[in-house]
Amino acid sequence: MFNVHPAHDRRARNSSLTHPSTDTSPAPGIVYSTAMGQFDIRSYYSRLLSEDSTKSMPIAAMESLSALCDASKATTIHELLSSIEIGSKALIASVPNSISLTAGCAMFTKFISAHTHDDPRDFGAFKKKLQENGHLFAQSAREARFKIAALGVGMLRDGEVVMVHGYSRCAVGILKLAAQRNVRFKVIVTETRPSCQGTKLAVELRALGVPVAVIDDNAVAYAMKKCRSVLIGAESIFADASIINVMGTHQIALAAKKYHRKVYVATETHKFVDNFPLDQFDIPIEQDVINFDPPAGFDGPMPQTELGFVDYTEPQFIDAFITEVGLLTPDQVAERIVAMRFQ
Amino acid sequence: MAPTAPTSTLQTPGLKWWLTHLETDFHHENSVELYVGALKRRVIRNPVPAAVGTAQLFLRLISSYRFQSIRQLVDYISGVEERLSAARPREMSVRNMVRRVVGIIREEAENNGMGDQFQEALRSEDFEEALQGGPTALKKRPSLMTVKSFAVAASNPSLTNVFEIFSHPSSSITSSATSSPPSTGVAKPQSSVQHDVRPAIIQDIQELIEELDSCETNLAEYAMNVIHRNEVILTYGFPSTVQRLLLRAAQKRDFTVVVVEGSLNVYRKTHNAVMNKDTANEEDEDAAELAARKSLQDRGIQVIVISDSDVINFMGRVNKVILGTEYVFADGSLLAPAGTKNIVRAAKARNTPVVVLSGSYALCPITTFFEDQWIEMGAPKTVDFQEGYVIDNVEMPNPMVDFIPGSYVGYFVTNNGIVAPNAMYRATLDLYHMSECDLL
Repeated sequence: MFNVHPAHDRRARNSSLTHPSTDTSPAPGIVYSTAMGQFDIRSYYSRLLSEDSTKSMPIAAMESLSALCDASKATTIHELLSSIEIGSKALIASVPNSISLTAGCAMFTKFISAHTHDDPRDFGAFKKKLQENGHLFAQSAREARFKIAALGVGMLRDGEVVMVHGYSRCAVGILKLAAQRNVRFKVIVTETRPSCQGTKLAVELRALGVPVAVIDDNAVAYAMKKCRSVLIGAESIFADASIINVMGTHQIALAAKKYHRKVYVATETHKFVDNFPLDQFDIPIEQDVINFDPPAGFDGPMPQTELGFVDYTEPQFIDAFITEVGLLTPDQVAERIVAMRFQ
Repeated sequence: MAPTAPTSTLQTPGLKWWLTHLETDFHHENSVELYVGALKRRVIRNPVPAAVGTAQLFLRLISSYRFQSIRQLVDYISGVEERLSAARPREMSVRNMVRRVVGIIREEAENNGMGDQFQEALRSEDFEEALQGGPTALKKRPSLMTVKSFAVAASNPSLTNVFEIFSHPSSSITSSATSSPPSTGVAKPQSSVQHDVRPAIIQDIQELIEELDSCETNLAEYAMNVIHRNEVILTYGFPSTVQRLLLRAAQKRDFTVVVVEGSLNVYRKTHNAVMNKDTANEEDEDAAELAARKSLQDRGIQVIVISDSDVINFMGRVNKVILGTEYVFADGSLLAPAGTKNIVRAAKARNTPVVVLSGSYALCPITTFFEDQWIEMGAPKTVDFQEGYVIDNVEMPNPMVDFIPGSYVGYFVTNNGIVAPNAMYRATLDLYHMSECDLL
């Protein structure tokens, strides 16, 4: 059983990422309530996601927490902070793959608590300021993707052939902006089974007139020589600038390294997580990829949940991160993540 | 470009000519025009002359410019900068010097309690324009004064701030929310602004110029850290920074120098440098100094000159490779005279450490997607005009520089200290008080 860590082990590691787990939420995690009223952060969160399919999990989490701040009737800083904490815990508990969500919550909490020293006297004004800043933070996180597109479009120029794996909103933003600007580039898209995110991407890009070749996931190494660079997204970025992303990213990175192709990761900085796994099987997600004892009558690979499997890619396979704060080397990313601790 | 061209009777304009011009007939408009022309025609080229020329120009410009506010001054400088950068985009020390000057202005504005004025001056909407402005907007080089570069660093000394959008949350966000333009009530036109800050700014720029002048000497200070007893040092093209360093080391230590004579672009200069002669009517200002200087051979150092084709053979006997550079990027990659890449690859194959000497003027806070756009092509060296039929029939590309990734470099020696390639971005950003690199 080397594929899945024992559950208690995982929780112990996770707790450093998130918050100490105490079961203080009144209803079983779903509703956060005060004496004055109720705020259902989970339904708010899932409504945000269902209303806007382009919204990513951490952004929705930040917006939900901002809304929680608005709704909260807290009268002290600690009360407010603890309501944020309970809210983010409720959110994290509600999804199976919570890494990026955790990152969003942690960043929001950090941001709020970074300002708690500012003005402890007048709590009303202070809370108002926090709320404003919280909304502004969530808003800037939303805008990050446009900045990434504007920066990342520089990687594409006429004659460029780029290989794309998965459907990352940041990466797609770059490709679409380049298409709008009439850059004559071509895209090799991996099919990205079983979610077929690649096919979805191919349809969208072809609609914009971009020449797209969809290849089998098995053909990555075969096709690598025909592209100049690889563009991927990331679900989370860890403190050593390693990433987790949709399954298959690691092998595409290996092939790119072999052929000296540049690997760019397009991502927002709110996906930075201050923690790092040691290898594939250390990522804090339970996924049943390798199973020697499959359910009866099951011949193919293990079925994937809605979120899909992810894998882990080390920083030495990545040339640069395209973020809203610029083109960062893995070293710079690592430094930024470590610097988050001191804020 | 051709090393043979100018005769000694004809005074070729160079840095010396330009400095004389600034001293005798400086004019705030004509001089900028003249400098743009000089950059375009490569009259002033190479990092050091361009840096010195630019710093001197801005010293004069700021002395003569009448400004009412910091904003006006910054706008003026960025206007001039745009013209200079457009004249010669690859000569990045021009831009670096402007960055330093803007940094000086910021510092002095803050010292005089006008930090908010400076912030306001930087709060241009360049980036938003670029976002919406369609294809042309981002094709051009990003403006020097974008929000992302200077504004944040100014108000927050911690350059690694993740929450930097909110680096001034207490005042600006609550008061001027999002709607009101920044020019509400902050700009109080003080006629005294220029009296307050100008002398200090000018003094700081003079210090910057002194720093440029003493750059090579400062680098040579590291000689004892870099060179050890009985080592065999290999260098390419023998640039004057390396020469100075070796001369300093030769005062105390005995070692051997292997000089690779270099491509056709540089071999003549290399030979002259090895013979301690004036470097082929390049810039003649330090000719006297050169004449007075002892050569390595005078100090009893064995000097071996080898051809490029011999590098692989020699590399096994070499302890250390010491190289000069033209420009260093924030990710630790660098531009060096064409042919250097062969050397570093040979060094890598033999696990020989590579040391790169770089003055602070060469550190560019820039990251890039495309390496080849930085490589300038020159005229072919092996054929001249009489042999036009050759050029008609074949292509003879002659790249002037190599782009070398940071992974080939052991460490950089700068006049601010010794820096590892993966820490170069930090050193660079700190130098210009920036929070992010420009992406070009």
